Amino acid sequence: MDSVLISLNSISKYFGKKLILKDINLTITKKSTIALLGHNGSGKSTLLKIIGGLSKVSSGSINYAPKLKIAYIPENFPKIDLTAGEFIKSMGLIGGLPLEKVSTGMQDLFQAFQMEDMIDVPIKHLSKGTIQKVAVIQALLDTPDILLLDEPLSGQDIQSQKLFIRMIQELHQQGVATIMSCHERFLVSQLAHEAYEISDHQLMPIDLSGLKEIKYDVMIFETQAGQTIDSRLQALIEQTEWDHHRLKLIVKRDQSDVVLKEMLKHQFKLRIMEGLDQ
Amino acid sequence: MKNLLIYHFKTYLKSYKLLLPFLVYLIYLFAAYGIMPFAIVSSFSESAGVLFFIMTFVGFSYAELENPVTEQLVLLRVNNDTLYYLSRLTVLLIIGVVMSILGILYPLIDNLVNQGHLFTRSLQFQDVIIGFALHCLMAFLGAMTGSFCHPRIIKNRKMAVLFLFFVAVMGISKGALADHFSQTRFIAWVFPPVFDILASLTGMDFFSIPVMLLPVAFGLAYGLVLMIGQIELLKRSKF
Repeated sequence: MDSVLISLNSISKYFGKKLILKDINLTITKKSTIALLGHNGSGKSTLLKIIGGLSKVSSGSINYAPKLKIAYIPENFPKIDLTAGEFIKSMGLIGGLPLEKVSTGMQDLFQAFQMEDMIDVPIKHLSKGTIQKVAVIQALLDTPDILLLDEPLSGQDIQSQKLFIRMIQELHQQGVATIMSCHERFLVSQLAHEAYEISDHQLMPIDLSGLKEIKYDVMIFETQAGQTIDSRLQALIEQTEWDHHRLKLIVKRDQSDVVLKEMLKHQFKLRIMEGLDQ
Repeated sequence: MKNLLIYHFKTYLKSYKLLLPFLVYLIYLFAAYGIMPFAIVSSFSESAGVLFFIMTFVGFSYAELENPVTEQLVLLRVNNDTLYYLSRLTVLLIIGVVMSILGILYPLIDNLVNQGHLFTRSLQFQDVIIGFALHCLMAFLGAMTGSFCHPRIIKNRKMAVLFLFFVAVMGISKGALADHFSQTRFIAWVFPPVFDILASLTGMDFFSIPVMLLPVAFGLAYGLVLMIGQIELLKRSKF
């Protein structure tokens, strides 16, 4: 049996009088790769913070293995005054890494994420996607025991997403447990072996074999000012990403034709369409 | 701890939030020591009282600056919540010491420039040491009072500003208030003992350690309670 790193025992969480999570039980072992799904506000981020010890539980208990190293990739990294290089270096040194290891690790990661030219730029002046890369780099600077990921790929370009997925898979092979919150189901089959949906404040297991069979397409459209997607169409789309005059959609393959037809009808211009690699 | 302090300093200094209080204190010193001569004890007391207000603002703006996301990331790296919050308050203490040095160094230099005529009597080594300690104590009290109004301790920011202003003003004026409304004496101890410390120096030509001992000890204890209290509250009211 794999050694248990963290176990949540019947934990509940209230914010004021509002119930967020109820009687959650979860065991995280060295080999865990867990995805937490659920709509916005369902409690995914709160559960991640509880696992990381960043949020107190209202009831229940949590047991941690001794000397656990936990890294965390937040959903929205703030626009701070420090440069990307200063922040990453500080994180490494504060975490107890020797300066030499911090410098080499920083260099490799900035290079891998194509950020060498932005090391000395204040984080507040970076784009949303690049700021998210800083959040990822700080977590990957040292190999943790557990990596917590809160909507890890939001705002990142396709190349960085692919690099990130590969890195996470490599970390898993090195024995790093990963717990990820996401609402894009297409990510789950690539990054997790175990998935739960937070529904009605509780963890409901999801059958991953069904998810793995689902194929996805990526569509990139050119857009014009003022164009929007109606809620009916939005329901068929797995992920939407606006970037100036460019819109990226990830859609289940069996919905692709319907979505494409509707998008063209709404004057969006298709530029790229391809299958999403699993 | 060293790397934590460097990180906090970089974050704070890059925000330029220290510039305004630093300049305000400098302008105060320039204006206050503009016309001579002065009594040493009363001028040092006044300067220390002003430093209390300035450090209250510094403590508050420093607490406001803390970003919850970066706080979470650093907390995970440090793996010791007490050490993290202590390091943040240590930064404030260091700023307080630097401001105190400024508060003592300025009149010292001014006195030298004026061939020792800035004060009504000659400045002694004991004046400098006790004056500096008094400034440090006031800076400590101000910083701990201001940083106590952390966004996670008082969530309503308008209330936090009003509360802090009220507490700071009461700290320095509670004696005068008690002269008019004697009942306020019963709750006056709740407010920072700025008045109590400064009142112990009223009318003195020389600093007297025995007279100052009790109010200073109470001031130190008050500051420590605020310090430990806010660390414990922040550890309890996590994200």
